Amino acid sequence: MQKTEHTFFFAKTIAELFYQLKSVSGLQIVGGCTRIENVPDKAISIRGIPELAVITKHERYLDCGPGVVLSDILALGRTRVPDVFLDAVQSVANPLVRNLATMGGNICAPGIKLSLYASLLALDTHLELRSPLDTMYVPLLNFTGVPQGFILSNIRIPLNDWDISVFRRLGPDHKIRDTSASFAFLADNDKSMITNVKLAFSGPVTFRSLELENRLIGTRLPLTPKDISTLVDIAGKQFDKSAEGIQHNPILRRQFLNLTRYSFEQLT
Amino acid sequence: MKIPVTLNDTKIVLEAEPGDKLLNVLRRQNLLSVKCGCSKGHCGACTVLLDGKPVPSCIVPVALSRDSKITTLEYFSKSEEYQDILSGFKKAGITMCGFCNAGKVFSAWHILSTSMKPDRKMICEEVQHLSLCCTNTDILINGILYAFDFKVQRMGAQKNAKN
Repeated sequence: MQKTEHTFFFAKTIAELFYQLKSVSGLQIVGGCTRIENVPDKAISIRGIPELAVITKHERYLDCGPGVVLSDILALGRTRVPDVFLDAVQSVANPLVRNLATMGGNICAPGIKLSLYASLLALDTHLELRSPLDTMYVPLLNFTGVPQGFILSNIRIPLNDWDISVFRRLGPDHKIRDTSASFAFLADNDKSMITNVKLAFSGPVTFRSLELENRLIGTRLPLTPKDISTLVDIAGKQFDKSAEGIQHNPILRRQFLNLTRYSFEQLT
Repeated sequence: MKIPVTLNDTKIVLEAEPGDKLLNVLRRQNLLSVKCGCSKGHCGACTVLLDGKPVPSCIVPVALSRDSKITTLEYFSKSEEYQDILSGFKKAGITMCGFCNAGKVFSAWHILSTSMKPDRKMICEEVQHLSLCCTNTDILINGILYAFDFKVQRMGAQKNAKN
């Protein structure tokens, strides 16, 4: 390959990808390149690796390779993909960009959590990280980045039926700004009792409200307006705790609380 | 850098910097149906088919298209599907202004080729982001629905001719 200012590599298999990553220092993996203005100085494309662009549906979960483009997920339809995740995918950019943008790119975008993150967090997604010698599974909740020598090789999304599913994308359409964020809420109830609940927010401030979830499980329905106000207060404290030391637009907190209130109202 | 691609059904090697946008590289090849609009992937003026999927060429680094099949409107306009779309657009009163053609035509083609029975809501979701300079979204939706009818008629006629 001719060497220019930028060096662009291609891999056709995962083994080739590992070889290139080991041989070339500072090599950055790129997917659809929809978020980056300029190609990194040393980049490697995973577009040609079929193993990383496979969707496999199992009974209890959906396995997506990081090279899967978002339009392929939309093509699966609501019967095969959880509503909250499908709504999140649909909120990404426009249909033309979704033909390029990949799952891996959305999860691993440096410095910001993009639109799919909240829905994946709420769904308890696990990431498979692979090195030539090792494979590890990391819950998205604990994911901080792909370690040196590893690649993101699979995204495992649990498939549960949820009675209530709320997803909202905040901020301007088709753009990522400081007001961009996403909110996801999932709940299951049985015999007028909350049996399972998940609440996640992502953007400049990203968190799963585990404390609130634990408090809610087992609560009798319907929730009274007073209950809802108490729960929204707890959610607000959780937001403040997660936002400590993080610069964010104050409108995000207000929007988060409004959406949390709206979600709790759906339960009643 | 040399980038082998299949451009409009012809195998060629593009000579470009890896980070050059596909839009600019295609225009250098005299494929002028690919227009530069917003350069952010929103407006659709630079749409091409990359491996059979419509994508905004203004955000695609050319290196990413290596070994891919690229189709521009110049080549696509020779196909039967284009004639269906053109007839549908004509029936809806859409003029082909020349600037937003690629976005209109390739979005319509994608809808017609992926959907068994497109409805207004579904088409609207697919085309509402396009910046249309010669029509509006409602009329474009009508055009796509008419194009679908023309496609069904053509395929029916082909099937009957075979039998």
